[in-house]
Amino acid sequence: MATTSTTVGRSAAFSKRAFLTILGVLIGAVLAFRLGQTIYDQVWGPEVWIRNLINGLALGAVYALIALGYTLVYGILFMINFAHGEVLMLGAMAGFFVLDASINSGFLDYNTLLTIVIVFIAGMSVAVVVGVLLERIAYRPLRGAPRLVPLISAIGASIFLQNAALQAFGANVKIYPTPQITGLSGGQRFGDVFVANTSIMIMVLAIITMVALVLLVNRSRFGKAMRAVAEDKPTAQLMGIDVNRIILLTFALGSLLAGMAGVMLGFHNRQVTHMVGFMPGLKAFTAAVLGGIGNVPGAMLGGFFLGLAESLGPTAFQIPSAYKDVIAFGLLVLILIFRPTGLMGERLSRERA
Amino acid sequence: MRAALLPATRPGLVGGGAAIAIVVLGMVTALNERELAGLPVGNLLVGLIVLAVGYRAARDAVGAGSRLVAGLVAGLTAGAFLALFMLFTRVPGVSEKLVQTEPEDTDAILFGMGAGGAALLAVFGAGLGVLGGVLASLPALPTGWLRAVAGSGRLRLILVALLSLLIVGLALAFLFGLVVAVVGVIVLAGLELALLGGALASLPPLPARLRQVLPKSGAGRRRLDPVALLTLLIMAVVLIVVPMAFGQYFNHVSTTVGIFVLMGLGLNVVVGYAGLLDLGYVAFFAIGAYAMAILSSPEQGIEVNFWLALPIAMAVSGISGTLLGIPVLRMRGDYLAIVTLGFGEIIRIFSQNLTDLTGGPQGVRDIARPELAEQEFTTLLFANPQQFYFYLIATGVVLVAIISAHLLSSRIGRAWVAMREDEDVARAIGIRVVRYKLLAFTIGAVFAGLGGAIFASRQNSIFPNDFTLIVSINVLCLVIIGGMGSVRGVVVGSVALIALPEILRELAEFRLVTFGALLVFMMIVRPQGLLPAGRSLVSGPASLDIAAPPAEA
Amino acid sequence: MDAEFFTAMAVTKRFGGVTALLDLSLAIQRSQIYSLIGPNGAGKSTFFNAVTGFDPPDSGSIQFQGRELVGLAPEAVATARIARTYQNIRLFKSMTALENVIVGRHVLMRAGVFGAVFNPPPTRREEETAETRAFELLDFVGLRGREAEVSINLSYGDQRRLEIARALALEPELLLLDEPTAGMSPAETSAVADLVLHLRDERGLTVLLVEHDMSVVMGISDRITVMDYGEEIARGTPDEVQNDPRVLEAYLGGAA
Repeated sequence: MATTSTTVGRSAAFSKRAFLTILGVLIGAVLAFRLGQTIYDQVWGPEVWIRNLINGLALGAVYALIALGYTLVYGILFMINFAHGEVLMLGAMAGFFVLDASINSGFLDYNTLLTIVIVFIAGMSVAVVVGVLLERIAYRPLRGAPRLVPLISAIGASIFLQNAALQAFGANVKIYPTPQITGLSGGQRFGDVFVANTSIMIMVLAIITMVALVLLVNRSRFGKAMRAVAEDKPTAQLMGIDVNRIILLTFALGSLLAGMAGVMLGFHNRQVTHMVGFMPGLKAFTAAVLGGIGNVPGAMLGGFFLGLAESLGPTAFQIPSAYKDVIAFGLLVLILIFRPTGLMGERLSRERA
Repeated sequence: MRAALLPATRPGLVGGGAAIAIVVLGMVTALNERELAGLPVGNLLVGLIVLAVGYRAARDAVGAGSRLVAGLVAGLTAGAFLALFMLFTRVPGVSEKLVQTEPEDTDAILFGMGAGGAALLAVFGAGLGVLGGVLASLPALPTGWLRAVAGSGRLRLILVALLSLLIVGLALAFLFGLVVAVVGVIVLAGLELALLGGALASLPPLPARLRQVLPKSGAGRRRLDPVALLTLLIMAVVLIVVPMAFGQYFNHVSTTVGIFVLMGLGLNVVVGYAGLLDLGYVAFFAIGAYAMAILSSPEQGIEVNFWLALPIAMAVSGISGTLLGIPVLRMRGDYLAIVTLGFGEIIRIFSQNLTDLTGGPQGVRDIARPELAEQEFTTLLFANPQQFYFYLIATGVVLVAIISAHLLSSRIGRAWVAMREDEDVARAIGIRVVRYKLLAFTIGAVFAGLGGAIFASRQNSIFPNDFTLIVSINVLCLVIIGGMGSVRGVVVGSVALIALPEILRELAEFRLVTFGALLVFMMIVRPQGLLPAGRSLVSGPASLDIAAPPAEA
Repeated sequence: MDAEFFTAMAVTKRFGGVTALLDLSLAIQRSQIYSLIGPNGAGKSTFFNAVTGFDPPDSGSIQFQGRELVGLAPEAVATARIARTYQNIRLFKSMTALENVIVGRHVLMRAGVFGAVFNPPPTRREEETAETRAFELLDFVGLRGREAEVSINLSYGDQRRLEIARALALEPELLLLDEPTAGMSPAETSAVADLVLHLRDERGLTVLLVEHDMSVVMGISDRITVMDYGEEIARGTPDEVQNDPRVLEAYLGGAA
């Protein structure tokens, strides 16, 4: 008798799993069919595929950088830093102003590479300052408050920063004069495929940064302290870690990455307004959730995954590209249904439990 | 005394930063166009900030001497910070980038004297800081009596009665002339006196009112308190009479507020009662609006009557709430937030791109208006046919408010609160949490659908841009600012968030900036909202992620 | 079918490599007070979670009044009239004492959206009954006069009693009490022990008790299972258990 009843229990769990599996297989089959059709009918030539692949990688690299900021902060404070996109926007703005000044003063012509470096440093420093101020003013007083309270504060900060930028710098589009910059204008031709130099810069820079970040988190004293704080704040405090300092530094680190992403987007898209932080911020948050929020490799994976899905999805399934955001969010819903803690979230949650 | 120096620089820096911000945002320039007692308001505001900084710094100091010194240091820091920034704006190229700050204005802040002016500004700041310090040293004013008056039920009742007489009298005089106003006021006064007499006589002494803190279930709910009755009556009279005096503009503002109240009440069920953070609530508003539009606009060839389209729109919205809820409600809180946010965006993208159905960016035009029997009827009653919307929305708001209050005080409401506080325990006492979450989601969606449908009709044409994320955020913020889980709070929040910025048009361009800063400020100072729900909804700090005041730390 | 009231058969639960429960079997008769004792980590709470459906066992069977509980969701277990309290008190903190008890009656009430909005006579009657019953229960656990108190404002002992009242509001057939006297003064402890006895004797309630206070366990239990490391090491009446050498060695030895 015992055995039969156990089977009943198991079959309940089994049926839910079976349902999900069947659903997954069905969705997979539909997508595979559509993809097969696209390939079979040779709707696109190979150069279209490769072009979108590279675009997707560049976009994904940017998403990954931004997503890291979300994930670092979430991992340590369990809060969604809703204003992260605005940090990016202000970094891009700062980069623009410095670039503009260097053009006016002729410094750009004098030393192009140094100018680009300075523009990045300016964008990153402003982003860091903004991020740190955010933490001090809008989040730190709310430490320990119920979860919704810092989230609302973050939304408020986001609205404030976006509109402050609109008021202070005007609604006009700021143009990064990328074509005037030797080395960043134009691109490389590989057979039929043309790759913009900015895409190459983004990928190289992003990958170097991410490697450095992983080393920082895993190897350095700061990284260890950060993980300790994420795991258990009171214990970390007892072990002599200055928790407030670590949190502040985490914000600074995340903002640094956002500032870098902002300047990259500036060079790549050439246009900056007070709104540029919003959508990338939202997408990057999606990417962070996709990868399993709080998980550093997950954020990177999620970023690239999302970038590729957005860029290759409309091509592969012949969907109008106006729906690329729908793909992003639809993907998010699907993945969360099948893996409720994100692609790489499982490990993390088990450690926590 | 020495110890007071360093801490005092912090409020100084914060205040200086705030002053710089309002200069950069152009608020000083804009406000300087007005004068108060001969002083330009913008500069006055800067001065006030420095004064407040001095006051704040001095309050933390001990002893009269150190108070003054702290005020001085803070004021000097603030002034110097501002002065340095103003000098920076004089660097060639900088002030063109800051579109709101005119060089003349920034020069004026430096008294037109450049570096010397900067020094003067710092000294000026120091003086204001000392003044703030002096203020902080003054003995506190006795404000006890004020609280006593406000706290007394009787006095408040009389105040409300008098106020309502005044408002109704003014409105009637404005509308129909003096004679009608006098008669109206006399009639209302008589009614109020009768009720007031009864209310005052039957107002039980305090201890016996303990009963009120008990749950409003069963017997408690049906017994109407005379105070509540009088307040309701007065509100009803005000609500019916005053809007007749509204012009086009006030009518627009008040109906907008009403629509947001509808949405707020719906989101209040989802976030406040059930504790589910929905960041894409606008989706259901949009679905209701588009359902109304598609059903009733001649463009789509269905052309259903408004009154038929209304319930269908609500149903469509409710069903989409359920459908969205099924996959997402098992997700953890933060994931739920982002998925709902994504859903809101998806709906907007669809409305923009499904051109055949929604008209794409051109939107849907000629959406039906509500008609009562014959159109003449409405035109007879209201000088402006748009005024009918006020009464329609007011009725909707009252109904929805009553329904949500009833829901909360019922078995369903208790289940929601239990689930919000401790999901495991709720399950262990047999509450089917998934079902109750779905229910909250669906009800919230129905309310938003109602708001959307009426909105579509009032606007006559709707566009995808009416349904951006900012609507979701507005609604969430008004629920939170009003006080989560509280019906009154939603109304107060809507007025504060929707009506005030509409009315203060001259500051319109600073609306969102101020709004954002205010949200942050509010979360730090009063996270439970302006009018939080009774204590049965404000949760203990440890238990819950929502609506509780921050733990003292 | 035998008329066993509650039986657990060969219940096993592992977490990763750790075996929290190994082949635990026990049978409880109607109107018995059955105690589970053992050192911390012996698997008592794991067993509670297995019974209530929060953490189903890997294998084995748990039968209640001829019905299999393994595989049921927690909500369904509650509907089968099994109520529980928690070792670390888990009241609905923002609700008043009265509301806590009324919400405990959830499964015995019917009102849906219609009832909530229109408050028809059946709903009204139901609410009145709920309120009356809740007052009775508060009275019964000794919280008369405290019904309007918000639950976190109650004293620790009162909170424990309120939790019992909430569990009783379900009108359970089986009551699981997880260390109901933890942290209580001797006087409060004996009051709770009396309460449990009263529940059995006057109401015929069946109680499964996890408890560390040996005076309570030995004083009121009809049957006891002693556990260690997820396994049963002894079983029987209080007298039998107290004299079992293995129990003395593993558990009571240190305490006595």
